[in-house]
Amino acid sequence: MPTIRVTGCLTLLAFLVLAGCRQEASKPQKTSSPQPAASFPPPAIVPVSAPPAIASSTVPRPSGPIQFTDVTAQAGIRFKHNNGAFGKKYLPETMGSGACFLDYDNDGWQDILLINSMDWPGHQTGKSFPALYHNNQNGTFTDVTKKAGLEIEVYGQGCAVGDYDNDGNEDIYITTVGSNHLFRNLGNGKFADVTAKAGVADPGFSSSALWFDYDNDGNVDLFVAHYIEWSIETDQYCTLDNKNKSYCTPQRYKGQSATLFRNKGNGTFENVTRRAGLYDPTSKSLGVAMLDFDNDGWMDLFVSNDTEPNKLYHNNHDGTFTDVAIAAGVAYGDAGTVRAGMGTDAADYDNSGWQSLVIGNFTNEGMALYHSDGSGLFTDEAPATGIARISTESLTFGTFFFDYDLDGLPDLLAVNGHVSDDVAVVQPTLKYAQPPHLFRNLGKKKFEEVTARVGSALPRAIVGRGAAYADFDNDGDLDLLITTNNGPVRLLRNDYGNQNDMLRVKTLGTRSNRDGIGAKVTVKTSKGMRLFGMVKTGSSYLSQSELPLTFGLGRPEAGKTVSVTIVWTSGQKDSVANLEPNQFITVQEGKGIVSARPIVFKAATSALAH
Amino acid sequence: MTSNRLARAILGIIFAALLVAPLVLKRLSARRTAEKSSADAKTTLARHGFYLQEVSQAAGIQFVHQAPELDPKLSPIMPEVASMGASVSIVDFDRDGWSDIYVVNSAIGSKNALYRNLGDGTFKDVASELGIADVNQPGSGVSTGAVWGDYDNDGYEDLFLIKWGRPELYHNDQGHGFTKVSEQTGLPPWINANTAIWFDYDGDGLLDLFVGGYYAEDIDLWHIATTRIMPESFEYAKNGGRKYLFHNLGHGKFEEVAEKSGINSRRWALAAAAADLRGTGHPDLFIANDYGVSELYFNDGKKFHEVGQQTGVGFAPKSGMNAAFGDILNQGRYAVYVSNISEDGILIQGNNLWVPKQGTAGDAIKYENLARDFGVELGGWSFGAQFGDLNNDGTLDLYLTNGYISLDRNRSYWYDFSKVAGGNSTIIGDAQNWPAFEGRSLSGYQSKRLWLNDGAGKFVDVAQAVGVRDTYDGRAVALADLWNRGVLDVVVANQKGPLLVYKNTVTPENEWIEFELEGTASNRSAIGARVTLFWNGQQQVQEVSGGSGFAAQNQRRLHFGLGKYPQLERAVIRWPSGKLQTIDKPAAGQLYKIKEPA
Amino acid sequence: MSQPMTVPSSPLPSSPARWKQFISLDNRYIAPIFITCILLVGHLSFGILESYQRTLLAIIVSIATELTLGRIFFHKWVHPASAYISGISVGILLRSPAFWPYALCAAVSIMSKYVLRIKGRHIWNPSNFGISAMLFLVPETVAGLSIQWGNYLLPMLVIWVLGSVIIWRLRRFHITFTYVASFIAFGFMRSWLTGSPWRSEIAPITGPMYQLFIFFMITDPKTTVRTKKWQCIVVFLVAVVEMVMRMYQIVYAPFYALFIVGPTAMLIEIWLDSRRASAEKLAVAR
Repeated sequence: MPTIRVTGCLTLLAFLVLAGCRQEASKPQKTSSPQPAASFPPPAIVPVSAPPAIASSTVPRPSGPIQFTDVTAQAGIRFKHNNGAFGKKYLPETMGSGACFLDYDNDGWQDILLINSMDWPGHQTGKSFPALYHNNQNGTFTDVTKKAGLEIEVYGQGCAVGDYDNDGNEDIYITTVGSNHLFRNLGNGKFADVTAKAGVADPGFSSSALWFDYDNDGNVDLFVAHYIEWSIETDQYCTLDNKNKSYCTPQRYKGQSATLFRNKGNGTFENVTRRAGLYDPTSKSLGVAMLDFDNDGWMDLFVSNDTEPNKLYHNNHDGTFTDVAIAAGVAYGDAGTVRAGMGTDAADYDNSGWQSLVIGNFTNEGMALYHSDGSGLFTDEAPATGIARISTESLTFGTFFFDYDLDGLPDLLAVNGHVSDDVAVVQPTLKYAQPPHLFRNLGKKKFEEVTARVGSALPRAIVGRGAAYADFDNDGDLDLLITTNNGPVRLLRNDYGNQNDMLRVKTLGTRSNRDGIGAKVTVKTSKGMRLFGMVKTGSSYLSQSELPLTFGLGRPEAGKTVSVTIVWTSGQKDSVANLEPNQFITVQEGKGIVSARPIVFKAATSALAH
Repeated sequence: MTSNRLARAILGIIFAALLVAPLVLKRLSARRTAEKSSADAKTTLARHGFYLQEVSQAAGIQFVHQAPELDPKLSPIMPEVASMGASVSIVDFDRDGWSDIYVVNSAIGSKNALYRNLGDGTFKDVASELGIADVNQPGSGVSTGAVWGDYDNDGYEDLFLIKWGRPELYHNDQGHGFTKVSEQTGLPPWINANTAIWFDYDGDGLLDLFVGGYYAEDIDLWHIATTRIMPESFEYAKNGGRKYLFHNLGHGKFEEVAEKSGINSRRWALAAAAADLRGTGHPDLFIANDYGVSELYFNDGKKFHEVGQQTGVGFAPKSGMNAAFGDILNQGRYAVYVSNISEDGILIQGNNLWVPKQGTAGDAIKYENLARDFGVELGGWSFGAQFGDLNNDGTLDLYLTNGYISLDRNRSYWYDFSKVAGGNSTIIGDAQNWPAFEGRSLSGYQSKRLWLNDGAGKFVDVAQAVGVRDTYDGRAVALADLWNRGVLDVVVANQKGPLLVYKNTVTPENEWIEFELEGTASNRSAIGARVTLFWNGQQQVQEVSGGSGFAAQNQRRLHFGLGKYPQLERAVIRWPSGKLQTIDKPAAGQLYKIKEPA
Repeated sequence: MSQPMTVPSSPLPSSPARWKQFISLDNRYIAPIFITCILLVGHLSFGILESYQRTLLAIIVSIATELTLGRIFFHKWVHPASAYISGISVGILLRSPAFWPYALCAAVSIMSKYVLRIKGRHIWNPSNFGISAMLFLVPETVAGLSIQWGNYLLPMLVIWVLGSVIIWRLRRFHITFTYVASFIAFGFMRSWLTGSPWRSEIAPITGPMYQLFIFFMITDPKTTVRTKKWQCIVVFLVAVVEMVMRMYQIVYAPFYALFIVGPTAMLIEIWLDSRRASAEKLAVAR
């Protein structure tokens, strides 16, 4: 019967179509490759000794050239910064924005906060909100901004993360052009805007901010850097080509003082800027870093100023600060001129026990690498290391030290991007979008640029602004988050950085502030390495990296043990010895290790990503 | 009528079954291979006898290859025309007994690197100090390969730099430095070559040099006069570069004799290798050509005769990109492996494994392609491949790298590529007619192959299981015992990618023996010397080579894996001078350094 | 593939030119001979075949299947010319290092004629069905013919001229012509839309894969509709669907396009026929 035949034919057709859908071949399973011991017998005609027995450990180690892989899309992060530009070239448009890593739900996995600006009044095209991305622990993130109650429209610049009320949950401070906002973490995945109650609105043009305990009273205080006096009405007209308006330099504007808010311990703050000696209406600050440059147990502040001298505020132990930048040699460039000074970071990059400074500067200025000799004097090593020369054509915003290859020597990242989109008019060799620089620390005060050797994702030209690092996939090595002006954010996963050993340390204060901000951590290995770190907020530009510290311990060797010493801001000293490397430990003030989790090396399963 | 309907119904069922059968088989075999590749290192060691770990970073090697930026007229298809150049060769340039690694860079102004083996597990780049780093200066073209050979027999390996540009010959001054001697030797001013080998074709004890051109030699790829530089055909192209045979006259002088000697080809040569295939004592020359058939030249000591068609290797045109010899059946006869292109549903050339037909030998030797039977046929867009006993079990295994152009993962250039490939020569010969790449990939991100020889004529791919999981665009593969442990490590040069160094860990139960030869009457590098090892009732022959694979050169030492409990009978060395030397009952686990007896 | 139809009633002129008689519908061997010519020319000059054995296998399986099934279903020995053409097409157009795809494809092609029938007619061109099925189902083992004629324009021109003459004598030239014209026009349109050089869009038609397609597959009398006008329209639609597929970067667009459009046209014609037949029946009955 024709019906049967027709149905038969159609079924066959349908079947063929379905059959054609191919299944993905199953991915290769996880394999663990144990560590062979190294042995190098000399070449000779004498019989060579048999290869030694394979020491098999249960921890699989990945191996391959270190690469940074752009995983933004596969992580599900679809944020785009909106600077509201509509043609008038208002100065704030070119400055933002920042990003912060934080673990807002305390599940041990770093989440991401992205700051957004907005459309200018009269030119609204839609709503722009910041974004809070929850880490799903599997390489993907979920946008939980609305759920968290963070959908506010502000002309945001940066963020600072800290537990100001010591309740165990990370709170968020967002800086804006306008009024800033303090969001208290309620602990249930939601935040509440407590700005008014806390009294930290601090209106003006805020840039970077950080949480630190300057009076050592166990509560973190808030320092907010300010840039310039600016409003739409007072916006200046500048031009680079005598035809069209360009973004102005800050020299056309007056500065605006920073603000220091002292944490009263009851959820409110008091503005102590003048009392602390930090009132300076000439400052045009963009970056802040906390450090203890004289190791006296009281937090100092470094503030990088744009076209003004930088500030190194020494903590006088009595609630006041004194600016010693000029004496210390960090106020001006080598030639005695002021430089731009955007992003900044303080770290002990040569394991000397003293914190040095890095500052990102303008094009034709080169970065600054102020090395501390321990006596309060700093010398700019950037020219000698080659960093100044390489960064001459770059306008550096976010910058920080981080040990990407975990060899125990902190390396340096600089995220670049010009402020004038028409910069090529004045200098044809300069570009608006610029690639970042990754400088590998070779030790003995030598750095080598390796940007082009860590995969194709990092050396892409972007209009870079903020930058932060964190181990978001919990595999032991540090990944990067980079923001762009009026563009998307980029999440770069570090692959195979964890072929070396490392130790990750989280601090839990009891008498000191809950986050342990300001705690100084010294790590020693049984093979002779000695490393220094400090739990800190701020640094970079408008951004904040994760709070836990990562110490690179170099090549895996059998029998390597680690000892950790922590000096808290309360003065308490804790020590732990005989630790295995490749762990994530949490140390509580006065108690010692309260949790230890071995690092899971996942990279061995996937193909060498590139 | 009813019987007809019944017949029809049955036929319908058979019909459906036939259509479904290949799918079912595909699923089953996919599951089986997935099971096989999931194992931890201990199991891998037990099952396959070895595993590999990528250690370039830890060894102090952080080299990333740069591709050339050619004439802007070629910009739309730049990824395609600038898709080769990565190369690596192993040499012990300072005679300290530790293999060093020379790797080239292919962008104008970029530097090549010579990683000197420090003997402590790490390497240090000394190319700049020795003067062989800054060799890609503007106006001189870029490096596409390097082969080492002691052309003046002073004991130190000299360097020939293969280029798209001005080829260079560097004399190794006792391991302390290099002197450029290109002018004196009479090298041509410009070539566009990707392959060259050192070999003593006339057996006079002086190494001669063969260079195979790819693009025609009158083309300056940075200043092209016309865009008609592409091959005239995808399978029958004969408008490529010419071949060169530099006959070593001694005292640093060379004479170009290719045409006179019978090598008169303008095919697009990509890989060349030489070995004594017929037992005549003279090395025969195998050339794998892109866009066409391979060529095999029999060498009678003075002239070359092209015998590709008569021996069977020069018949079916493919895209030959590799030539490596290996005695895979332990019968004392070489098989030849040629890499081609295979892409599901579009182009399945399949790699060639030319095995000498049983019963044929000498001048009447015939080859048959047994790649499919042996399971080494499908390797994606295959490039460099080398034979070597990676697990020391006594049979030669095959390491293959592949991957052409890895750009955007989600967009493929294959459709546009197949459009052009199907067209007439007037169309495809002009680069202007090629669709622009626009950032698309062409057979990129491919998995590598490591075929383990089971000794019985079957190879099994264990790459993923033993730790080879990179997906870079691989080009050259070189095998060497880098840390003097009696195992073969693998070095891979990737186009626009890092140099990978895979450190081999082999189960100690499988024993080995190595030979390092030095000629006296024969050329000092002993290139062309054959060692036939007899053990456990079988034999394996290996020959010292002056370049093989694709843009690669293995270590000079001959490494034999022996398996468990080997009973070594004898090793017979046939020197290029003709001298035969026998070593009775050699001991396993040793490196034999042998100088040709007077 | 084209199977010359027997011409029942039109009387032949008493003394036709020999060559005209040779190349006419009477000669059911003309198509097989022509396609064998293409094969020989291609292979002897350029080694176009994967191997003699594989093509031979396809031909043998094809003819064997046809004879067997013809015996079973039609109770007679069917003339093997058509099966020969299908087999040799499979042998030329399919490229695989293995042997079994050739046998499978040939078998499936012929079987499709017997299984996929409506109202006594098979609706798929056999080799088109077989090849499309193989390319779609097992791309990792098979590929289509993708090489070109080599360096010389001459063989291609010869095939084109010879083919055109033969097809014209077989009264199917309009189909080939319409398709080629449409393909070229769409090629220019694609070039304009995508910005790729027009020569690269036209390039495929200069290769042997297309020669077989335009001279044999689309002109197959058994699987094309009846009237000249509609034949042209159908083949134009094939070019349209192919155009769409090429915009989606499908490499074997012509095969898949014919796979879809051909049977659809056949089904519509069969349905219209049956409607007309029943309408006539009604008219007569009244």
